[in-house]
Amino acid sequence: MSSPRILVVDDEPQIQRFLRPALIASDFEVLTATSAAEARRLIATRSPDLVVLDLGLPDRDGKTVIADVRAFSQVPIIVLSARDQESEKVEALDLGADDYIEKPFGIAELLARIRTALRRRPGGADARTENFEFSGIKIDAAARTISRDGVQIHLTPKEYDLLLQLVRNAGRVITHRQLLTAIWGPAHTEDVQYLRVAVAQLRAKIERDPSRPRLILNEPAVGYRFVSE
Amino acid sequence: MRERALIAGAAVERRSSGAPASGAGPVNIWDSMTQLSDLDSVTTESPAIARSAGAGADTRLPQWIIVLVAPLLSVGAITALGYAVSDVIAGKSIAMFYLAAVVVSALVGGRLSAVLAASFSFLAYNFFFIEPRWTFTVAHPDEVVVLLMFVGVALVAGSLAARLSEHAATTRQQARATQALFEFSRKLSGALGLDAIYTTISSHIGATLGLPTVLLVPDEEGELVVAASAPPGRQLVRDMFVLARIACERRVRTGFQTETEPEAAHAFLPILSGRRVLGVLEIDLSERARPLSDEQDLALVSMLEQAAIAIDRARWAKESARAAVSQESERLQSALLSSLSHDFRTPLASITGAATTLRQLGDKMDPPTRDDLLQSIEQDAGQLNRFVANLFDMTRIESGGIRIRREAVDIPEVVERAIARVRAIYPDFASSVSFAPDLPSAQGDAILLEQVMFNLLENARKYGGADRPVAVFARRDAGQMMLAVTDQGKGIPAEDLERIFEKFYRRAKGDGRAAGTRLGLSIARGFITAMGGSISAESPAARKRGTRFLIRLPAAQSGVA
Repeated sequence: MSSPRILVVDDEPQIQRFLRPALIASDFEVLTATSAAEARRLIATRSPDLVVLDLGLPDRDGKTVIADVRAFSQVPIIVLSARDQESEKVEALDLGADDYIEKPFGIAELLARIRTALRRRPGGADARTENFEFSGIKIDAAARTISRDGVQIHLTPKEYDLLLQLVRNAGRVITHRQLLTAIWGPAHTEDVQYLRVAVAQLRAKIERDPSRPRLILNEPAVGYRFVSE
Repeated sequence: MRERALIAGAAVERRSSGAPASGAGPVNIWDSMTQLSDLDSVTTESPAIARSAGAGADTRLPQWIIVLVAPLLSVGAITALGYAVSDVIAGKSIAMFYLAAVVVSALVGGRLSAVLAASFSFLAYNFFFIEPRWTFTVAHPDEVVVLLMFVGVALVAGSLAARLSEHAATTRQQARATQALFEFSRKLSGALGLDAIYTTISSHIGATLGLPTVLLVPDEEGELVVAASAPPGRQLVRDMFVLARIACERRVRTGFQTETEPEAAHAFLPILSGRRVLGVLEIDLSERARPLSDEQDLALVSMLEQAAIAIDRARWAKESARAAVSQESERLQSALLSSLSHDFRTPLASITGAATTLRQLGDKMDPPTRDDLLQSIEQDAGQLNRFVANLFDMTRIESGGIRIRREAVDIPEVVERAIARVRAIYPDFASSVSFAPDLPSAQGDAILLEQVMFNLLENARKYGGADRPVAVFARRDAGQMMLAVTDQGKGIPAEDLERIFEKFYRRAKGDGRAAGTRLGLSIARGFITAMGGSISAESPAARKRGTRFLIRLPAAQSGVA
């Protein structure tokens, strides 16, 4: 199998300067773009396996690139941003970005995110028949049951749906809005309180120490991230 | 003392309300109080209003003289006329002449005049024209009928004429009141700002009533303070503030002939907008001692309403202006913060990224790649350092903590040093430098000027393109030293030429492309201004391209140079 092709979209030469050799040294093929227009063109013509996208671009807002690209491609997008406004990230994620990473970041963290995103490339197994296993917990998606060390754990249907959503997107951040829409429906996209309660209950049932969660992590003001390893 | 006054006031109130002769209800001047009898209500226009209301009003006779003199004169004249023609015209017809006298008196002097004229006519007609003449006796019974008829007709005609005249006077007065109110409202809307409105209120109401006034408004702590007065500079004694405060708290009139201290010579009227008290108007009635007339009071009420509207409006305008200013400064603040955060984070991101890459993946890289990463760390650290230095300079300029030397500065030397500094960072930096032969030394600070030149050159390289040389040129210009730095970039739109000197202003959108501190130009302007010079930008500089920055500094004294 040929090495995955990664498109880096960032107009700052200093960022390209270290990202390019780092990705090449990690056995990726690297494409670079410094504007939204160039990024769009390269995604359409060179079909990269993953896009690393900076939100601050000279010609257009990086978020419009996400919206444009999602119209024709499901390529994983990791948003790279120096901006620390939560709303920016949430908007990008809601528009269809797969994950985000804040500048400044260590290369190891970015590589881990890239690998996670690449694993969940479209065309994976049918989620409904998937079984998951982590930290002694087994999920049988077909039977909708969950057990720890062979002991059945009782979950309400909402808690089960929530867990499944998180586990299916393991390693990746999911916004409050995305979780609320998937589980409670589009009428409840702003009811973050529902989610908080359900997450607290779920943590109480599956975390070894619910006060220090290891599986379901908070991304403050953005959403939750499930970590299985 | 105040209590004594209040008790005394209560006594006065009892006394006056018990006096049937006054013909008025409970004593409250501000309520519609009719001091004059119905008959001479035409005369209620007070001298004060008359003074301000119309031309020639000052020369008017006291009303009671008119009431008395008009019937005397008219009846006298008719009698003389009747006597002159009594040989030609029958005595009975002369009664008709007297009717004319009654009507004229009614028109001039009102109802009382008409009654007087009818009475005088009755007597005069009887005395001079009815047989037996020269007596007040009547010989023929039918003459008695004529006389009674005459008195009846005279009273009716006089009353009708008087009513007509009253009506005209009322209409005139209403027109005047409306005019005065309109005038007030016009003045108020012409007044710019709260202070002008306060002054207008105090002086206009003062002039309309012919009385001194003081306008008190609550300050930020709710304490009443003098905002304006007529005549200007009037102050209130301490005790008066108590009454003003009560007027403010209870939202009622206090002082002069009101329930709160009726004996006071000053009246205090709250200016209300809904339930809010916008101010309290003091009126000094000590030189008048008479209450205000109905019309005056009505006019006063209307004027206070107008005043409330004007004050409200001005306050809103002030509030919204203040809100706009704070919004603007908030916007600047957030632009500054986001800019700072970006400018720090970009080199930090690059340093962190390069360092972690080297540590984790360095052994998979060839030596030139590793070297490039190390170099980028070095350069970004340098950029951070310059950024911090720029921030420091900016802080020094803004706090005024900068010491400026004024000495003869050798321009070529400063330019050379600045170019060398730029080359240390960008080895490919290209420049063309020329100086006029008669170039004077500038008066200023060599270190600061070098920093300014460095900022301009770095800027020129950034926006002009790395491959296009930056031109530096200096010459004498009208007794000053002029230094120009010209790039060959895209240029700057005319509307932005001034704004580029603002802090954190940068035209390019997006993060990168021209990553910089955005402080360079505003620091340049700060330094040059502090040295007594000026800096400006021109674009396009040549052939529809490029930007030229012009520095003008005073030339050093030739003796020094």
